[in-house]
Amino acid sequence: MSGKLSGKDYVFWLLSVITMFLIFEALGNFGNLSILSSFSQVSLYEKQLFEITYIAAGGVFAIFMGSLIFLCLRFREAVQKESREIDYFKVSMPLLIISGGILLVFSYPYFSPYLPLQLQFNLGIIISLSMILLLAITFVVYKEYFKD
Amino acid sequence: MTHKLSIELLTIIGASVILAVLGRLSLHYLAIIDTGAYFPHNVKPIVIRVIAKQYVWEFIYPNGTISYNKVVIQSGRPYIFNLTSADVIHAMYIVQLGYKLEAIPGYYYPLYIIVDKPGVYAIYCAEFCGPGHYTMIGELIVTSGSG
Repeated sequence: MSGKLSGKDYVFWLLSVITMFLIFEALGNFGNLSILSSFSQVSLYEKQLFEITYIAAGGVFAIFMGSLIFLCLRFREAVQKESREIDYFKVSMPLLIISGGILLVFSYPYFSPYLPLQLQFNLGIIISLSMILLLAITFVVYKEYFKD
Repeated sequence: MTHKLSIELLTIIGASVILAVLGRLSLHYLAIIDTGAYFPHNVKPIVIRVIAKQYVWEFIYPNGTISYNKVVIQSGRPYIFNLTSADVIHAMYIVQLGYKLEAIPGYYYPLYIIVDKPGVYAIYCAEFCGPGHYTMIGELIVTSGSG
């Protein structure tokens, strides 16, 4: 693999950074703090400061995370593909992604800053399940590249 | 200067510029909030004394009227809540309006309040003040300015 980056590589690098930026911004509603009203001058100042901080943080996050992902993929060690009777990666990955989708659908009603106290336990369970799912995906991807 | 070094310097300078801008803006807003510089200069603010105590908010109006856990103000009018505590440290927190200030025994701190829209806003204690801390909830009732 060549150590020199081509024009195509730079395009992928940029795309990786932009994707990370958009994901970060979408998760935080582009820094819009909906819990604060716009009926006091102080809340307006806070909203504005939070928005600027969030967007700036998104830029920093995107540059580092986007570069990390791109460089890891671009310079990863070439893996000799061995033929397997059952490719567990191809079985487990779609299952995990489907589980993630189902979890997302179930957790959608909980994405509110005004969540009643009674439902906060459920939210805790959902977050725990999400972490276990992320762990499983990380493990499966890791095992795909590092067999031993 | 090599290409790599210039990119490295650019990231450091970029991050420093972002931090400097954020710091400057925060300082500017903090000064305005701390001094109530956003108050209109032609209207005299009404001073209400607020005494936080386990687990109640006591509001003393300028005419001597006392109310507990409820304070009524007019929209668009400037108010100064002179905040103190009668026992332990509390903190007045009006989430929706972004106001938050510590109430410390022996000290009076001004909270400059002006609300543009009538409504009922919850007042919480944001400093753990004892076993009944979670019950220390009040209401800021904002009535129409013309009413």
